[in-house]
Amino acid sequence: MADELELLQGTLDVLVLRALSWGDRHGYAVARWIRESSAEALSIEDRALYVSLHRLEARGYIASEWGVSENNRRARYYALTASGRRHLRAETDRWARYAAAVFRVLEADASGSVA
Amino acid sequence: MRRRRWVRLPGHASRLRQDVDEEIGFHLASRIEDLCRAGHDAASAEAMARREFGDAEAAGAELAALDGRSLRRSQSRQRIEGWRDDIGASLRAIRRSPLFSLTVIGIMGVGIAASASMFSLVDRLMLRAAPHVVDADRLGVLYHEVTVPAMGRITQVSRSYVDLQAAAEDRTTFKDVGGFMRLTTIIGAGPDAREVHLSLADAGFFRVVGVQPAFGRFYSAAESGPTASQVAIISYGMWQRDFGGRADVIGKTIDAMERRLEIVGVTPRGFRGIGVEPTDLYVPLGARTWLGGDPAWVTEIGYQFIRVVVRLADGVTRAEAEARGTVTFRRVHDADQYERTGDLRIGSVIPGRGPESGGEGRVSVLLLVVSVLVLLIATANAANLLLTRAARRRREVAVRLALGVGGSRLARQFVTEATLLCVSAAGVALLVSRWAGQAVRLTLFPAMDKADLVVDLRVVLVAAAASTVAGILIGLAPAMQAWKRDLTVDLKTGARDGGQVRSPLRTGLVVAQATLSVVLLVGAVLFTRSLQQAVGVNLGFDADLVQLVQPILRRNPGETGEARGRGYEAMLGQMRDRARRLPYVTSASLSTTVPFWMNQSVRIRVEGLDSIPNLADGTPSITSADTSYFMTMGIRIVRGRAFDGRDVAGAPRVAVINQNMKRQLFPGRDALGTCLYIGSDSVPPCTLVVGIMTSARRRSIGSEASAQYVVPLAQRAPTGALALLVRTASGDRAYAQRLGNELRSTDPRVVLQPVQPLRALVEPHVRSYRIGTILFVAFGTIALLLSAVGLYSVVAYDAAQRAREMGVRLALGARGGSLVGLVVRDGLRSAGAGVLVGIVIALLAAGTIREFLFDVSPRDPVLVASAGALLLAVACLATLGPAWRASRLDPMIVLREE
Repeated sequence: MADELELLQGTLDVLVLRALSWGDRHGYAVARWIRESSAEALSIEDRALYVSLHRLEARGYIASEWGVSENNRRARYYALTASGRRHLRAETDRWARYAAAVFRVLEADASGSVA
Repeated sequence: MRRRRWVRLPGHASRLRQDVDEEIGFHLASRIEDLCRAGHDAASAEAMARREFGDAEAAGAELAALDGRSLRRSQSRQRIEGWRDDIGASLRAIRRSPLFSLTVIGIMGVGIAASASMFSLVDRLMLRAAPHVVDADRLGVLYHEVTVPAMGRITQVSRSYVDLQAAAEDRTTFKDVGGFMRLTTIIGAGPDAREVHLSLADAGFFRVVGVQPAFGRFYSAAESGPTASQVAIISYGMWQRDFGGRADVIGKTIDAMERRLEIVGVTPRGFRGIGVEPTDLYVPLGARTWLGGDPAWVTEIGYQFIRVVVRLADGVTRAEAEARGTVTFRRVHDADQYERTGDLRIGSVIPGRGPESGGEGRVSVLLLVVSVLVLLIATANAANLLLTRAARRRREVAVRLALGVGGSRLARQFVTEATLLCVSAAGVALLVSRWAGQAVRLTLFPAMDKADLVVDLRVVLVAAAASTVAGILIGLAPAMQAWKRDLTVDLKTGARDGGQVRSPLRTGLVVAQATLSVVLLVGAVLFTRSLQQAVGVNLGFDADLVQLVQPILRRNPGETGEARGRGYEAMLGQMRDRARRLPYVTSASLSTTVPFWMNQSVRIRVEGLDSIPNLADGTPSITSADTSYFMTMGIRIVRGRAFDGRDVAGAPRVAVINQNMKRQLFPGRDALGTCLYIGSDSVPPCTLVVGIMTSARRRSIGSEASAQYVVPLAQRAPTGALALLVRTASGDRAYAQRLGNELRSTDPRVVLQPVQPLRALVEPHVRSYRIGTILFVAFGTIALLLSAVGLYSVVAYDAAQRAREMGVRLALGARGGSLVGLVVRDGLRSAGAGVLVGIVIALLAAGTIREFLFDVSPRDPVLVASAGALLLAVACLATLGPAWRASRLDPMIVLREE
């Protein structure tokens, strides 16, 4: 697990929103999706993930309701709200521009022009 | 495939932690399951899952806190949305039935306007000190209570300059002291001459009240003392009116008090001292000397003309100040047998509460209570209208209840709707009372400052509170009824039939309205009778026919006071002769006294009596007058003779005494021919009583006529004021004006005060009765109309509900007349119950209004019964319409409708 990356502040929220963009999920499903889609490269404490879920709910980006899981247990399901969807789009966009900018800097030569 | 059953999120904070723990539990269990499936053994899977999760306990607390925050937010959002929905629905309902809504708004508007107008009056008179008065709680007006045998406890409001000085020197009791005296005076000359309200005030007066000049400065203590400077301070109103509000007013002059005064400052807008009447002009207290030319007022305690305003020293209570002031007062007045045992009191500076306030303040409080009754009647009325409509909307309500709309939610909507209507009514009411308040002021308190009594924030707040409370009460009535409905009955039936025909709540409201209306009507009837008594009281002189003419003579430069007095008498004599030649004048006389205006009394000794017994109202008053006095006043001679040509200067001195004086001084014996020693006379020849005249009231309409005697002016020259009394042919009010115009040219130095009938002098004594009557009658009429409308709406609705029953009766052969009786009887039963309860309440409350009535018992059976009869008569009229309609029903149509 030496290759695990610490998550930047605020990034987890975007990942959670992304996980919910496919449809309603309960907290464990969100955790599993992030673990699997990052090929276990991101180290996320589950507790932090739940805090993110509840915080996003308090901000009105997601809504939760109790439902019944695949294995017939009571589980809390989360769904994106309209404002959550807007927020996800804006954040994804910001992330893309941020990453592109960082990459441009990393790949620039001494004169400052991109090779 | 997962099956999902959505349930509601926890509605309570207590379940938050439980839910969070369950969510975490689910996560751990799922993870352990997955790990086991991947080959881990149970123990290591659990350990791994827990490590991955982190501190579950801390997480639980953190998550529950976050959820609590979102729960609260969503709850408040729901609440706001709920209110928005309610208001939206209410607005739609109001728009759907505009006539109904306007009726409710109108009814509530009248009720709220009545209360708001009365509150603004009470606020000015009883709750608040005058504008610009700083920290009124620590201020007070000094007065003295003295016990005089035969007169009882008397309150003296005016103090002498010596008293003022004594209070001012007592710095440990009083922080500051000021004094003033109000009077009216004429400024300008000829056609420009006009009457203004003037205050003599010392520098301390402005200081003690705490007012700051709007412009310029207030005069100093040195300027305002006994040797007064010729300076004046004008009011903001006078500055605007007479000087165009220009800055160069300072240094200009104004002619008043027979001096040319330099204007040094302007009082701020709305400042009127501590009273309710405006003051146009302030001059130094020392100007008292200019009035009579006698500076004795500075040292003599007998010159009592100043109202003393004090500010209590820090830490001194009112009671302490009264106790210490009393000591000072008794020391100063040691020479007077009565005053040396008197007590000093400190009265409030709030206008209606001070020792000198008339009945207006207390009457206004009574009327505020009355106006609240009107508001209650309006509320009951509006509640009834809403109930009637709710009954029509019964099916709609039942459908909503059946669909699961909560009862409390429904109630909320009724209340919201009613409150919206009432708030609109309050808005209307405030617009109305802006205008009504001015009307009240003009008719009832003509002397009150114009700037006053405008609707201000406090009145708006009171109206808003009243309308909200009323709205809740009104809305609760239909809400309560919706609550205990039997849904199945309501759903099956329409608005027309089914359900109970008469609702006890609605009937109760009608009875309540009738009850309150009868209470108000009893008040209105009693006050009207009392005003009749007060106006019609036999004054003993012809108040409407006799005009008072009291000119002021400008002083010639260098003229002595004595010469001026003689000049004045001569001028007034010319004026009397001139008046006698006018065609509409039947008689005219000079007189040293005028009833309800100025009285005079001097020491008197009666031959044959050791001393004058203590009379109910002090020494008999003396009047020096012309021979024509009796005829002018309309006073009859009952025995002996009036004055005639014999009674000239140098002839034997004569007097005519009134019956009251005869009864008190000469009980059981003939007074004619008795000898009187008047004033400083002590040796013969004495003054002989030659006639006895009818008594006249001289001071108050309430008390008995006082003892009075008249002597010929030719035999006893006036020692003080002198006035001209002119009797006109009829009580035509235009005569006063004509008389003034024709007499003005008698002497170029004359400044004529407005000529007025003696009735105008009596009027202030009748005013509190008049105020009470006008407002009681107004409120009583409103109450009567409202309860008629309320009764009509209930009877009409019930009759419509019973249309089917009526149809059946008609079909079975009942005659229209019997149906009229049926409906009217129903209506009268409610009204009659209200009348009975109302009369009982009126009788119980009689004691509270006794003091406001003139010579009328508040339990007068005829008057009380007539109020009840009036309401019953109006109730009869209100029910006749619906009854007549019921009797005209066509049974075929009614029965086919079913």
